[in-house]
Amino acid sequence: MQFSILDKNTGTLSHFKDAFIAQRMMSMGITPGSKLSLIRSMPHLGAYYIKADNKHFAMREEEVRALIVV
Amino acid sequence: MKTPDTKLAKIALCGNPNSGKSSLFNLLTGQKQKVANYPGVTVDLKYGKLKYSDQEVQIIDLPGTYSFYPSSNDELVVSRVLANPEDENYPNGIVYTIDITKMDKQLLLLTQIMTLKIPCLLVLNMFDLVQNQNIDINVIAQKMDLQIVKLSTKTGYGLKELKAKVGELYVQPQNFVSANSFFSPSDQLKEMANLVKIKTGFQNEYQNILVAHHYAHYPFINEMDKNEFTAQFEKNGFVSLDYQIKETLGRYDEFESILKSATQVQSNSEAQSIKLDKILTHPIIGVGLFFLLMLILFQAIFAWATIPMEFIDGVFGSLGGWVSKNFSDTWWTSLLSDGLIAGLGGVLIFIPQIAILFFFLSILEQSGYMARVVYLFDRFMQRFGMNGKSLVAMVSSTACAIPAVMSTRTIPNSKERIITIMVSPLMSCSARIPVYVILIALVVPTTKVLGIFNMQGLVFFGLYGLGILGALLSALAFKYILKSNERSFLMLELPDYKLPSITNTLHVVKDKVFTFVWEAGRIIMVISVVLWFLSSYGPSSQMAAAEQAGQEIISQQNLSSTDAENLLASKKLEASYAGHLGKLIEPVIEPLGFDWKIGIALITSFAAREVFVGTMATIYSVGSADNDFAIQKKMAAEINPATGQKTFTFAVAMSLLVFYVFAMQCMSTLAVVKKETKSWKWPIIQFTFMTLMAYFGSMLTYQLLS
Repeated sequence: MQFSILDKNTGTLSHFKDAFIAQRMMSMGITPGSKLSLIRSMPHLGAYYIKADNKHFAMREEEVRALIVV
Repeated sequence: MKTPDTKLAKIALCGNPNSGKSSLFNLLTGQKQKVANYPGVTVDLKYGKLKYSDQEVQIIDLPGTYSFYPSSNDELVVSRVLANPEDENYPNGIVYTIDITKMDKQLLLLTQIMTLKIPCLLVLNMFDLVQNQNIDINVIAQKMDLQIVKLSTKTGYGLKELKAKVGELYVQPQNFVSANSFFSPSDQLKEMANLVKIKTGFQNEYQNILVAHHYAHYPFINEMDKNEFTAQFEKNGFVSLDYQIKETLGRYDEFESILKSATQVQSNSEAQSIKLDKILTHPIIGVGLFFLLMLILFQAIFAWATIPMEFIDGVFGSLGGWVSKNFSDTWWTSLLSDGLIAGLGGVLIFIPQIAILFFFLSILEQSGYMARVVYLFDRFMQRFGMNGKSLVAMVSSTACAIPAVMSTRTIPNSKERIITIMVSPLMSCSARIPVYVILIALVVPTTKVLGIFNMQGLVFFGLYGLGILGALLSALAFKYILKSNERSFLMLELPDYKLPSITNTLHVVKDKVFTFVWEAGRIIMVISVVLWFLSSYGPSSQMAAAEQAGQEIISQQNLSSTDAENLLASKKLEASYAGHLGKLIEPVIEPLGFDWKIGIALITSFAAREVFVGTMATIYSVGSADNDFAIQKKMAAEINPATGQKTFTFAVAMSLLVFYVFAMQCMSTLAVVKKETKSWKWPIIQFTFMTLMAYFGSMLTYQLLS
């Protein structure tokens, strides 16, 4: 079973489910081993406010679900 | 936009978005440039010069990017310049800026630059935030084999040393090339690089690798070579994305271990950002605060600008009066007072409002708030076929559509980008302010609503609302018309909040006001002179007949000298070339409630909207005997000879306002849209749909209200 932080709220990034998203995330500093946590989200399938180590990001659901955490 | 000076050595500024690169550019060159805390503000190359002792180098500010593997057009610029040693902007050296509180996330691009073996100096910015923390710069410098300068663009700490080092970078570049490459390509990648090298002849292997990844987007690779690369890479099973990921992971492994041995940095601005964001990104409070901020902004534009506007109006009124009074009545005094001074006064009077608008927008951008706006409205904008970033473009479009259209380069999905470009000019830009102000003041009372809001301010806000509504509905239509299979994504960094710098803000305001006066002013001055000619001269027989007819009425009705002069001037205007032009289009604009005089203003303001005011000032000055330069008073007093009623009734003014909300009356924006979309198709579509919206919206308004 694979989890994203939408299931667990916090976790350590183990790998990416999508190569395209992986490349973009890694460029911005989110790499396997990064500590991820879900801070808040906008309602009605809106954006997610994610903390990754010491940086913050806005992401869509598809992007957050591509970050598999342990 | 300045272009590179080929004689000078070039030093490029590189770094991630939000690393303080743009502030550093200002400090080094003393040149005014927009400084913002929204990722991707530097969407074009900026040039400046650095003078230090007897040396002079050219500084090029490259757009902020995270790596050489970009996801949007503005980020691609960096790899396009650095992958091609023959590019006119290819630098002799690079100053790489890092926000030290985010050091572990900002080294990827640096290591890629080091692989290119371009001489490079590392600048650790925001050093004031970590001075008391445990960070060993010497270890980093030694292990990365780089020269490092500690800097604070906020306090100016380290600037002198940096300038000296930049001089050294130019004189002794070999001392700045690191022995550490951070990357060893696999055999297959080497093979691909060799294939590329046959065509490019580039000596650096990594430059050829970058071409292998991005050749489709590089203009320096010709079509024949592109086709050959595609065929060769397919034959060899080269999957670019896989190699990009492997390379990125390898680089992280290397530099993270260096960082671990040297530093443990934590910034407290991060904790403050989290606290602030509890409120500012709250789904209800955050959205409410955004609208409140916008409302305050538009109220401020009206309330604070009144006194300086009255002052400017007074100065130009006196100047025009003085010219008319002190010089004999010749063609050139008429050109000076009725053409140039009236036209120029009509433009300069709006400086206070434009300054206030840009002051607020610049503060919001620098603080980091704009990225939160993207977060708040991404889903909402998606419903209209756009991206959260589109809203930032639309908010900037309330200042000017040109930077807004350029800022869409940060939107990676081309359909979302095109829709944003198409609809952004529907947002009411600063050039519409003059038109709104005059017409609102003409027909809307200054009564207070709910004790705090000014009725005129509310109507002003309502016009902005109408522009937004028009933009969203048009976007919705484009969403269903345009087809695209491209992936759309958000993935945006939310930078820590920063206190905006007043110096940077004032630079932005000064820059924008000068641009407005210079760019708009030039067009307006030319059009004012042309208009003055067209409204002062006409077919000689008709002008003579008009004068004769006027004289007859004067003698029949025994008019006073002022009334007689006014009547004569108005008869002449009607017979002038401008009168003919206005009359020609009068049948088309009659259903909108407009007469031929407004028609003249409509025609001229297709060059630029703000010309409307200058045109009105010229037309009514030419057609009037008094020396009162307050254009508003003249418009209020204007009588339609056909009806005997005032020309600017509530219905006419509202119809005209709706026309200006929707019409595409800016040649500069159309030119930028053509440049950005690389085709005439989009500006033509944009001009057509906006003009149709303006015409029918205006007609509907007039028919309903009259």
